[in-house]
Amino acid sequence: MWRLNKVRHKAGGHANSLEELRMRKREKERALRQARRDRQLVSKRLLLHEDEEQDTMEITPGEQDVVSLFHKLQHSGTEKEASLRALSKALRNPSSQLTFIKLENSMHLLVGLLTGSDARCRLQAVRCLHELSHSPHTSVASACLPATPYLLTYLSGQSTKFAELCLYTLGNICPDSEVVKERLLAQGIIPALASCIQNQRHNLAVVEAAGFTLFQLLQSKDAAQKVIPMVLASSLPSQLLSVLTPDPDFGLAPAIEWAWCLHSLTSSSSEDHRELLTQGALRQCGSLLVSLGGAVAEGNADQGVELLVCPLLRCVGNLLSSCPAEALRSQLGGLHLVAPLCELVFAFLHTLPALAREAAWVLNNLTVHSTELCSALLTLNLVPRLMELLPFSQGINTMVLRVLGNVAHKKKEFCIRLAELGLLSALAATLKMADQDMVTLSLEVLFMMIVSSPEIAEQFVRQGGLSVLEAIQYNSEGEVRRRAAYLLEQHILT
Amino acid sequence: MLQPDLVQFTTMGGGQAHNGDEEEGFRGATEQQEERRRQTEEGNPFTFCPQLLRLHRDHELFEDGDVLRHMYLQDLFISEAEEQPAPSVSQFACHISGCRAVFSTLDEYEHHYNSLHRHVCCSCRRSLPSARLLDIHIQEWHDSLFTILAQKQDMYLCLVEGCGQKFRTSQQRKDHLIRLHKYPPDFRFDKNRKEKGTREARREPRTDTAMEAADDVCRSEGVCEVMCSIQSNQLEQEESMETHVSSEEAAQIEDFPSSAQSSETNTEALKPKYSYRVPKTVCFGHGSVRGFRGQRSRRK
Repeated sequence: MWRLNKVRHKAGGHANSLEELRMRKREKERALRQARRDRQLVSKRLLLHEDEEQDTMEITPGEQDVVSLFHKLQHSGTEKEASLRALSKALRNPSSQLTFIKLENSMHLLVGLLTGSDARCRLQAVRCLHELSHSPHTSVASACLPATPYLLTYLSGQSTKFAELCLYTLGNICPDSEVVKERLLAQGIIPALASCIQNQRHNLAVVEAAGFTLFQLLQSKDAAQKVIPMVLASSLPSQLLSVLTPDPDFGLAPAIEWAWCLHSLTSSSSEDHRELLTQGALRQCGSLLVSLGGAVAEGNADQGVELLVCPLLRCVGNLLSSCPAEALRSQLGGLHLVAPLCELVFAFLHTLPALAREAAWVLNNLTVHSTELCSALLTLNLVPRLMELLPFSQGINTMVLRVLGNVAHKKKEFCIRLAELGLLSALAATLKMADQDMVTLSLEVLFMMIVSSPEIAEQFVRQGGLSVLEAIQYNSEGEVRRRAAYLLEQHILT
Repeated sequence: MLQPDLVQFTTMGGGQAHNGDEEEGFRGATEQQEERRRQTEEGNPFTFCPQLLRLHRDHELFEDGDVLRHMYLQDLFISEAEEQPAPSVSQFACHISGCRAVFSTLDEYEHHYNSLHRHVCCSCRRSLPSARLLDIHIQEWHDSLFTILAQKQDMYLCLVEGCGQKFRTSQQRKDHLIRLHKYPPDFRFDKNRKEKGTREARREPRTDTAMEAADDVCRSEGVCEVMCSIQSNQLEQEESMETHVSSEEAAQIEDFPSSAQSSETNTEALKPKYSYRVPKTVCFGHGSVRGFRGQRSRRK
């Protein structure tokens, strides 16, 4: 399974050597990146049998067995459970999956067993459906449609393993086809999910599975119009927020799924997030980031914590963007977010620079409106460490410079303080960078610093800044030249 | 990096989202913002304002995190940092338009700039290694007053700082440099003026290869061939105009602020498209460079 305490075990085939593993991982990563660029990024999950070990997923017998198993199920009265079990193993094979759905009445049979009186057969039947749902062939999903009303009905049942299988099956098939998704929505998947986690909130495996399923639903291209309004109208948002706090024993997995759901909710459309804000989403995510940031900084965070930090950062970032300035303090409720965010930037800089960049983005949004938070950056002595990030490219230094610009923009006193901390010499370096965005931003920040106090202008000149500005007047970009010239003429040489 | 269609900006004053438009005006309420607005109205090109950035889930900034998420879903997630690539570091690049030099450290940038762009003579494009040598060069090569005075008195200053001796001819100075100061006879920064003629003749055909010239700069004999796209015939005009330089202007040569003033009046003749700080006939270390124009910038 993918439980994080078993992260070392990999699914699919026999990955013998570490090198093979790494190669597979790299290839997979490339494929995922391309899929994302094509807006086709979808994943499925497979729940293995209890008796299966992750790395020894068997390559099961071929197509012929599927046909014979089917016939057996059709005709014999006894040993149905054993045949179903064998069938589920056979259906691990993608071509067997195709074969099976083409057999006449195959789905009808499965649905019958799914809804029959034998509970053990129900379990095996749902397992067969689950294997089918994991198929890479999108036609299989549509073939599973007859089963969906039952799968949904069973969500409000009490059997946890069964519910898990139903949920992952549903989650796997909904991204495959518009028809399936629409049918599921019409059949009430949203309220079914809501009541499921209501009833099973203490069963974290089910909570995790439900999160996955909702996430899958939210990935569709028109989710903003079709799915999200329904979700926001249901009781899911408030339940979601209560599920976000990770359980120390079970681990991060449920929180991870629901955090990604929340990210999908907050980033798919241009609607403001009033409802989510009213329910305290910002405070909840923020306080989680505070505790996770603290754990990461101390080095005792759980393995895989970045899988949770990432969506939380995005939620906070986008929620902040629709939080009115006046409401910021009440929304954050006294949370001291600035330091943990900075810690996250520093901690992930070398291991996951992309996360460092996302954390810096959140810092930007946090410091846009609030003079208080900008002041905190200064008083908590975070600015020197932020300035150490200015050499790092791919969006990190531009975002950090924006943050520093936000601070400088607030007050003259902040500019003076920034100058004392050495921002001018940092800017003298960033002004020479190849990245044109960095040069422009550096000029903007420099301008704010210089107009705030004549001493700063003098300091800049003393540090040899004149020659940089003069060189910039030969830059190929007109906007850059204009700024440098203006700065020189109006504020330095007068 | 910020894809306009996937980013929405809200500025400090408002709470509304505006699609795509990056240059937002601001509706400030505080005094400071009012002051900034005034500055905006005075032809101030600076536009920075703290901006809320709202990112759509498809934004490229989210790519790595999404890949991480799906690697996890597909059971390929490895938490330990194994062979993590180091975060990339910004490079530095020479600002001079057309100079394509890129550096990985600030020191390299500084060295490049100081060696090749800093002490450049406007008139003949020669790059000298120091302000002092540049001053001497300008005086000896491009100052008609010097030529006049040199006929009657010792004007050629010894190149060694602190020596202070002056000589009637450049040859005498050269002998002095070799004899007393043990300089090599082919010291690169003491070329005779008559060699300049051959260089000028070579200049025209080099205009086409101007781009390669920038790369050759480092290998050249300290001469920066960075050419100005102001036509070279205009250059000839400048040279010929030098002979008409009045003594008044010549006296101003040493005084940087005044030469800045004279540059103002000469602006139209020079027609620089991007800088009028550079005095027409005299260049000091600062602002003494011309670069390519109209060339595609290698800056991103």
